[in-house]
Amino acid sequence: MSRRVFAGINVVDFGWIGVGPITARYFADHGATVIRIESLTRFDGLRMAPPYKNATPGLNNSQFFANFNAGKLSLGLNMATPEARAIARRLCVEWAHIVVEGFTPKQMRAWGLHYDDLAPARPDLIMLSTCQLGQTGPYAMYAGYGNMAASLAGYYTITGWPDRGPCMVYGAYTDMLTPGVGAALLAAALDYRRRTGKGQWIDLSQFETGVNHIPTAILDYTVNGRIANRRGNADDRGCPHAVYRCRGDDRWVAIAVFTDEEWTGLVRALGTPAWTQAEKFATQAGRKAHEAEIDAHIAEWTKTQDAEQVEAILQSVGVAAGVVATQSDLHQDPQLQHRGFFAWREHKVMGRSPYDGLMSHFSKTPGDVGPAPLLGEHYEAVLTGILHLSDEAIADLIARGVVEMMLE
Amino acid sequence: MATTPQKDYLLTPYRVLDLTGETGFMCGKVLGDLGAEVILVEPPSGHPARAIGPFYGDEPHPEKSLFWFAFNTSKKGITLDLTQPEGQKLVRELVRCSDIVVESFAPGYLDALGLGYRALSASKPDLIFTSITPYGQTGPRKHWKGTDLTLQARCGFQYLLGDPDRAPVRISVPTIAVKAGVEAANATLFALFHRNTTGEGQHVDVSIQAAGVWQMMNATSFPIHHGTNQRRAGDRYNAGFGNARAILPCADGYVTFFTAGGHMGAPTLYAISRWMESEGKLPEWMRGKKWEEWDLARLATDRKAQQEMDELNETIATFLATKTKWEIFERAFTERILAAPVNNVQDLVAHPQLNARGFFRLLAHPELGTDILYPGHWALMNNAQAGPRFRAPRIGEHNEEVYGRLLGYPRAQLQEWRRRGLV
Repeated sequence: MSRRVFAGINVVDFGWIGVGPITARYFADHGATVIRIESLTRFDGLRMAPPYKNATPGLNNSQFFANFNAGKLSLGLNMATPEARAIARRLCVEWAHIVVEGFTPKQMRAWGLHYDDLAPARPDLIMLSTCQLGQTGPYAMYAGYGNMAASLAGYYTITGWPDRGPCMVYGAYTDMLTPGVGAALLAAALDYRRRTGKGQWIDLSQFETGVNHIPTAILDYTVNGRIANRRGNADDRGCPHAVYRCRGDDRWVAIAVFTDEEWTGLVRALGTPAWTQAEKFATQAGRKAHEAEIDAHIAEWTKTQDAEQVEAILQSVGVAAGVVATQSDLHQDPQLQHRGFFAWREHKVMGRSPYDGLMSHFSKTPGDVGPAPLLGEHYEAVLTGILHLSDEAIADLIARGVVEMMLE
Repeated sequence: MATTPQKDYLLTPYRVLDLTGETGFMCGKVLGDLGAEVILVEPPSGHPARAIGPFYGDEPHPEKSLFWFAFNTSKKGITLDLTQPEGQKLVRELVRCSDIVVESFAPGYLDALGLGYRALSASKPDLIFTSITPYGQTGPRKHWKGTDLTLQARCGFQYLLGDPDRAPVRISVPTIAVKAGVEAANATLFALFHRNTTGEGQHVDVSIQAAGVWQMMNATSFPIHHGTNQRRAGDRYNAGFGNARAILPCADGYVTFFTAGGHMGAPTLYAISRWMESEGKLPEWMRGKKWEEWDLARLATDRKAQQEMDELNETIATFLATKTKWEIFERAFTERILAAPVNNVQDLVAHPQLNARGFFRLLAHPELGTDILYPGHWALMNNAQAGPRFRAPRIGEHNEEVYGRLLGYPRAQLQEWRRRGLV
């Protein structure tokens, strides 16, 4: 019995930057064969984006690219040539179960690789097309990155402090939300095909995915007319519910109390100082009404302690608390370590490097993270092993710049 | 508003028993929106999450929680007291006719009731049992408490958000359990695919903390490779592409503008230069500039390059301050400028792109005498659809259907259970 969920499932990954490649990585992690189609002449921007091994830029030295493309094969194709497009088409039509692409809507059509071009030959093909605003609608051709889609989806309005302007959400936030949805849709479409024989073209909008992750705020507007705004770390119910400065350089701890029981725990952890016994703090509503006062007391308590110390004391009395972890902290985090979250893998150029690992543990089919490919590394495995081209034909394709690679 | 087209849903043959609380609702919602029959189990007195606001008409009431509405679309609802032995027996009967169980209790809680994965899978080895907890089912912190705030902190994401001179912030609308719920859904479907290949079920153990790390766009390896930590930068973009002010005030709000160098940012800088020139506002120093030569890595480290970036940034900010969000969006659209309005929820509901695609769905709430507009489909598909099918269940709404039609108990039995507070 196979220990890998998608053993025997083939994926052609035309994604680039974040969403397409991360979506395809879920399947590589669980045993599918994923061929990342890329190019040297028009390389994926992430190949020249930090972090780089030893902080040194290089097409095969970016962890940003490596992380999102772990465990895949890479085929370099100059898609400006008809031979390259023919190879890509053969992979889609003769080999793939799933095709993933993440260009603006006209690109695949220009290459003759649109779903409409492939489906007549392969009606059972499952294809995920993901772009910023979706394949249809007046603004379908809008081009951008996840930091634009996150802005469009409303995230910057609700990040920061009410007395100041909006803040960025680090990175390209919808790129972090959309792949999980894409993976769910693809897995459901695979199952649907197994039952019905029908393929699927999935048009996944990164803008819409962003909106789908804040449904409460949408309903508060469509029902109550309220427009959600940024509110620091405040919460309607929690009190205290804030981030407090601790000892050290930029060290903080988050504390969230929702019930009387948790408040009692917090008071005990504080050593039951006199201020906590005031009548006005006896109920959650009373505490909420005097939140600023409580915050000031707690900040006084935390500022002389290590964030880890505060976290441990509070967790021991049943209060939710969390160190505001730096990236360095994550690599020391005993829980993430126990769960083997960071997958250190040997990359041919980068050497041992940490990949972000699996979010979910599977008791029977654990999955695994493989190292990322060099640009065009697997041309033989693909062209010989899958497409059965002769050595001469391959040499010719390389000589004429149809097949590209950068192997150092 | 587009009416629901008559296409298949992808997961119609499957039944899900949803035993989750507020941190786990999203998983069942996704499965239900994709067509699975999801039966949400809540205590006889109603689920505590019904007390979470905001509320319909701002009136706190267990049948008016918009939080409940938002995360429990496409689910049926029954009541059952899991702490009574007879309740446990009924859960086992429900599990027998389900494909999937989703739960978000503290690790060990269901085991103590004889309803954990080990017990349930013993009589049903093809069961998929998905657990969603703050830190996962194993490890030294498996019993730690976690909320949106403390988990955003502990996963490392919060450190990257907020103004540098104040405390780090979370996104003001909770998102970490929403993301984790989506991850639980795809993991559950992976396990379902495996079951349908091999007949073997399994336990899927989702860590909300780990899902949270996957919000960080690979900032995680900066300390390993660069010996530094990425830090929050307020309204500036600082994810390794230079450090530029990324949120600029415009005539009627704010826009985000991506001032990146190199191949990624050059087309935008040429396009904005053309726009400025067309209005006679292009400063001399920007004329004829080779923007591709702004190497990203150099921008991150070279102080002079950073000064030039700052100057460019302020020049563009001054120019855009006279334009509206829509002018900028239209221009960004036609000229491929990396810019977008900083929208709010009002902008979203009115958005011509979302509405042209029929994104929002109107769900009937007959008890409230109204329909409510919900987000939204998950994707558009040629042979199927995915999105909220019907509103969240009222307390015990489907007791008769589930206990009667599904499990075959007579109505009198249900009445007797009701008297004993079992349902």
